[in-house]
Amino acid sequence: MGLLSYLLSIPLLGVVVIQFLSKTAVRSHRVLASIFTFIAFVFSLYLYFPFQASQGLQFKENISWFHFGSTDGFFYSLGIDGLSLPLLVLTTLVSFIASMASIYVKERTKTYFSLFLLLEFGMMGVFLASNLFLFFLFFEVTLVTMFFLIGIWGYSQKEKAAYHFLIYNGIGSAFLLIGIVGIYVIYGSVDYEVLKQAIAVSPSSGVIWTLLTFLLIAFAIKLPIFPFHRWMLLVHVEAPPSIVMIHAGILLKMGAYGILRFGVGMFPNYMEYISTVLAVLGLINLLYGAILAFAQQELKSVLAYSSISHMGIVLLGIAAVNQVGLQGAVFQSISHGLLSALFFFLVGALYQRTKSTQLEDFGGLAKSMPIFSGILMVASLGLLGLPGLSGFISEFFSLLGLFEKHPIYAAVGTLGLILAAVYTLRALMSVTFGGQQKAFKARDMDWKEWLPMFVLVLLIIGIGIYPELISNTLNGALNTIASGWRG
Amino acid sequence: MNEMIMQLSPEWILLVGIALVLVGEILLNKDSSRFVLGFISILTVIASGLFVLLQDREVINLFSGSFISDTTIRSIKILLIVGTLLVLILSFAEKVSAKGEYYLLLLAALLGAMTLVSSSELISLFVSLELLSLSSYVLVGMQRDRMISSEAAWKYVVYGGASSAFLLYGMSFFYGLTGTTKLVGMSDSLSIAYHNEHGLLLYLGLVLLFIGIGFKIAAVPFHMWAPDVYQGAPTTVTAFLAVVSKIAGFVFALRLLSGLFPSDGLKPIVHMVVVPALLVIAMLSMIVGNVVALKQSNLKRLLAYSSIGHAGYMLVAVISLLLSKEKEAFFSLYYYFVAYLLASAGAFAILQVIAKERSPDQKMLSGLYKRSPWLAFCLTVFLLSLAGIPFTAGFIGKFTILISAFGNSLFWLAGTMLLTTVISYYYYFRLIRQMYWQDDDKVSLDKIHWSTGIVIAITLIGTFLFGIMPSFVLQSLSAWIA
Repeated sequence: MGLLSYLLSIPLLGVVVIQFLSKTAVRSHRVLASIFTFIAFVFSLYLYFPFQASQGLQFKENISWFHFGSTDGFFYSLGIDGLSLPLLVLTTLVSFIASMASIYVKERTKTYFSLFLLLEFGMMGVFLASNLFLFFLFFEVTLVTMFFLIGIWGYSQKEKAAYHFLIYNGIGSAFLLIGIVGIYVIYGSVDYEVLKQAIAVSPSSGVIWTLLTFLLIAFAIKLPIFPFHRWMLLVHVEAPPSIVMIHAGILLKMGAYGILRFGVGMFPNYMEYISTVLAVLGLINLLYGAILAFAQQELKSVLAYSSISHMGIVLLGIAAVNQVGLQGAVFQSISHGLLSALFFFLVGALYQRTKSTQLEDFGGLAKSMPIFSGILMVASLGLLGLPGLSGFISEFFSLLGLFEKHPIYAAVGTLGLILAAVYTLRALMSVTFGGQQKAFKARDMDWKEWLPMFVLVLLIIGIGIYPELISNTLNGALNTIASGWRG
Repeated sequence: MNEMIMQLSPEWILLVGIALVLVGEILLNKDSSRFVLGFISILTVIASGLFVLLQDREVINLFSGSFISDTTIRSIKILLIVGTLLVLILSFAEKVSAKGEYYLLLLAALLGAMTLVSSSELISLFVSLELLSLSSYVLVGMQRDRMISSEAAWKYVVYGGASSAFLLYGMSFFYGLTGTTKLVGMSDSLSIAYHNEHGLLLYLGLVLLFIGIGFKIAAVPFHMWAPDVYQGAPTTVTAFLAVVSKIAGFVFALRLLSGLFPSDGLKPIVHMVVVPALLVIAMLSMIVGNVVALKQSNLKRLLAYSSIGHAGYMLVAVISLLLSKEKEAFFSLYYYFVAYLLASAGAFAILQVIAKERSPDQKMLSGLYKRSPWLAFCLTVFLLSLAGIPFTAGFIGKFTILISAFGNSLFWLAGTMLLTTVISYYYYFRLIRQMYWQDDDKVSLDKIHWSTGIVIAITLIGTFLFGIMPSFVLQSLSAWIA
């Protein structure tokens, strides 16, 4: 048992402890979950100190698990590098804040927080795993727990959303599993580092292309890339806001992480070969999401389509196949994770007070709810990419990288940024400014709500003005990945 | 002679047990409890299992090669014994009219399954299979006061009888071609016959054999009996059919196919006929079983169709085994048996609690979460294992089967397997949904009989244990079978 295993066991411990509480102790369920997610957050921050940016996978744990066939078998192996560490911290942070945002969940809280902690366990495992098999196991844990969290605590169409989520992602998992089994049968291992070297020296072949395609389809569903996005719209709209914080904030990033880790990390030359395809897909996502976000009449739908649009930028960054682009992709993942967590916290707070998320119902909230409107303003500015906030720096890096490789696509991509400003401001204006449409008994947010939001705001600003916060650890890892192309 | 008694000990102990139960049934008062008989049956089965373990690595070859037993066969026997044991424990809570005969028949069916696994000769194979089948027919019809039980028994007898006839006729072709009933050495004679222009007869025999086997393991398109029989039979008997009978059927198929076709001269037949035929049957079973299960609202019927799908998955492992003869393919099949046995036995145990005397409709699960959270949790775990979700035994089973299938380049089969697995998510999760987010109107607390509790606990622990620590099974298997 090493550090990472301890980290993984924190939420599990939380699940166990929560079973001892009485069913009716709603508040203590939440407090307990917040405590455990907070401990996990602090623990993950602590990892920064012994972490060495110049090295690859660190804090390695490798325990033989079981044998099948003539190979070394399967290992319980964890490890973390500059790519996964920021995402891990994002996970623990968003989980912590989402647990505090769960004040709006009033029913069956014991089950809710048990599943919530289990979900955090799965998400952390995804980023900590250092072989494909383990990655897949944790990936599936998030699938099952999310199904319950959407289906039990969601809004009116929760069941439809839960099933869409399950089936789409189930198909994604099936593709992923085919890819993993294929890789295992061919290379006799599922370990990241072993595979990376094995693939680098093996000649290009149709089989490898097929396997890579399967992996990419799996992550394309998760990200999601354009034709596979229907499920995530439903989840955005129908799941409870605290769960959408996690869904938009972290689960979508698992798709991005997958493409970075397995696509770019293990098949660098193949990815370079298809970079144009990725760029086109990224542009489609970017523009399609932006245009449709403009047409939405409901706040959550606006945000859902804007998520699609922003994931397009991640793809564009990856399509750049250079270090700057990758940096942009990771920055965008983290920035969008923080922003969407903030947004859906706000949406939860708003819905709690007004029982509505239709844009036409709102207006003039700036007067009655100044704190809410202020934070919403910051979030919106971050989303549209105002310099000085995290959104700008991510989009800048992505497009800068892409410009080196595909200047025309990059030029079209900047169009997306203008559209982002249009739809974000439209939504923001109709909520906070103008005349009041309906008389809500508008009570502004209390400290339990604005304090965690404030933390997010600080981070968004922090990354915006001091990107080294992330890039210091990140660059070592990206350098290793990008060296695949130079070599 | 002495040696032979020792070597056949697992089987004759069952015979002694059967005799004891028979005598006990005569001696016992008509209205008194049959608890003692159940207890005797359980002891018998445990003793039989112990003797299987005692035989250790000994390779047994009796009656000039028609009864064999080695570590591989013994590992299957253990599985059959564990399955029957779970069914026997569950039986304490089952209400059937003739409890004494019920125990008797269960033991007889197990005896049939055990000798079936060991037989290496056509006639003893057939006789063992009939012992298993005939006992099962009666077991299905045990609840005479329920119309549906009698109907199921009738269907089972008719279908089963027909399939036995097919099998026997098919076997007669092989006897005719080779002049022997012993599987050992049969393949070479068969190869000579094949090359002497007797291919047509061989194919004819093969088709008949396939039909018979298909019925026994309830693979599509020979599956029609399964849903009705599963629905009509007492729940414990359904569990027996789904677990013990099914595993025995698979071993029977494996024994016949691998006994008839190992000769090099028959390679073309294996690759051109046997494997493609199995491939089609496996694909159809996976697709039809899982798709039709989507529409079922009766839980037993649903599990019947899902078990047809599982038969398809197991066939994938059988095909890999026929193609490669590697130990790993057998391990994957075995692991799937274990996972399927645990999850099915657990699920049926819970059905028994929920449904009591009634026919278990999906609606009965509504609000189970509120009534008995533990029961809901356990059923969820069993369903997740059947669906193949990680950290349960079912996932490792599927994963290992996939690896074997990929190793033998059975890509389409593996693809179908994964696709149908995703389809199966839909109905397994529908049941889970029913438990956790549907409220029920009439709340009646489910009382759990202690025996059911034991079975649920064992299967729950097993499902998790083998899902998290697969090496328990895999390593001990490879140590034993090596």
